[in-house]
Amino acid sequence: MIRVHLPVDLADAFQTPAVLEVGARSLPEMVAALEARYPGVAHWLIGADGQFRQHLSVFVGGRRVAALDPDTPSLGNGEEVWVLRAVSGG
Amino acid sequence: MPPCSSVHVAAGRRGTDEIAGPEPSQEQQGRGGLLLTVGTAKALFRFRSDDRRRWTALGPVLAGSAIYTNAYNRDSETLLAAVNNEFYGHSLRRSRDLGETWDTGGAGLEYGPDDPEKVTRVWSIRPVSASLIYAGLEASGLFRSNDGGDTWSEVASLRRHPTHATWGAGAGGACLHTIVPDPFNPSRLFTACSTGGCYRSDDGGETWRPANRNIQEDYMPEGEQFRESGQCVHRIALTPAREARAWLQHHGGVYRSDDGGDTWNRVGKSLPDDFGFGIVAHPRDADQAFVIPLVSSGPMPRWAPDNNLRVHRTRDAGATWEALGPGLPDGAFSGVLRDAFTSDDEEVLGLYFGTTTGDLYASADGGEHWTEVARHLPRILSVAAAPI
Repeated sequence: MIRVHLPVDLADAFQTPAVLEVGARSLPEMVAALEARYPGVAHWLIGADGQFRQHLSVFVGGRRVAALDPDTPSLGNGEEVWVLRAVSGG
Repeated sequence: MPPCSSVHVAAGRRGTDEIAGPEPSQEQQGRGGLLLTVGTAKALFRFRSDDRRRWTALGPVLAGSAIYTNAYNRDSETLLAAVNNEFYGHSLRRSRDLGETWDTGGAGLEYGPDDPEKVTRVWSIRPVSASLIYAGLEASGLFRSNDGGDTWSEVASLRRHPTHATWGAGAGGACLHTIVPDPFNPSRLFTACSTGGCYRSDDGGETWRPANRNIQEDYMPEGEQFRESGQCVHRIALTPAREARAWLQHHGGVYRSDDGGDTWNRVGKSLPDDFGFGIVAHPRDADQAFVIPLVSSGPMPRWAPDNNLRVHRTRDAGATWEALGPGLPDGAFSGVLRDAFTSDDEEVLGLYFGTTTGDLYASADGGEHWTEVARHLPRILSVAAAPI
């Protein structure tokens, strides 16, 4: 299981806790797990290019992730993933 | 200025903030409550009135998002909002309680992964029934939902038209901004995109043809001024008062058609400027239409000519126009965008528009007098009026 921190406004829209645990070993699996639980949330996170939207920043274990890659980074049990609204968007 | 027009709504608060306009006649009061929904660059604002005179601000919702357009589906009693969010992208969200709560939008407002064009924003919403809704997207795509907005699929025939290669992006983007069902023919549908032009389908969207004949682009080189497609149409309006009567605000003029868009006649040359974005057709008088001229020349500031913000009305099918101004400001550096000008369908017509400088105006007497409903809102992108 990993722990995902979502932006509060996104969590409010989908009526989900802002911090939740899902079973995932990669970021694509994390998105798929979120989508399964909260249909539509993947569209809010992922753009038409298949990457995290331009003005979202994702951090894994305190390090920013450049791309939504199926292999990098792999997520260990208890990993902390933060999805943040980037300052560029607001 | 009408009485009390300097009293304005503190739109940022919820509750009972009110503005009072001129005392209306019984006819002007209309049948019942009206909800004005105002999409801005940073939220959707709502104003409610039982008499179109006293307005109550219900407060902003969907804060943080640009609401490019919004609509009320009377058949399902649902508010629809085109939410374009810098962080989370585009969605078409719905509310069944007049905007207090919202869903997160239906699925399918995307092109396929291999499509060279990408969907980036929602620009237009047109409910036809409780289940059938159209949406216009950027880049210039028409989408349809047959389940009230739960799921969407592209009306792909439009982008497959051979003239699609002539389409480009206007200043706002490659937007499909206008969708108008023909009130006399359920199989006929008009769309407009910038830049692409007006297209008409007579078979419910199966096939399309450009409908831009005789529209002049006088800013183009000679020999290129009457193109079949690639035109910068800003808005189309049809009236249920007369079959085949249509109005069109183009980047280069105001036009009227009496043959369902087969041909267009330029009718706005006597206006202070026949550039503008919105155009409203009177729902019961086919010869009446309303425009808000903006400056097209020079550095193209897109504010009112001589800075006098006015609605102009024709009552003779475009032969002459008159400025309607009491209650509207002089010294205004404001523009009005295409979706920010609308009407209701009361017996005495109500007209409503919002400005790029965040002011909202209403008239309960067909444009004769105007009241400032709110000021200091964010840039206003869309205004819709719904009986509730």
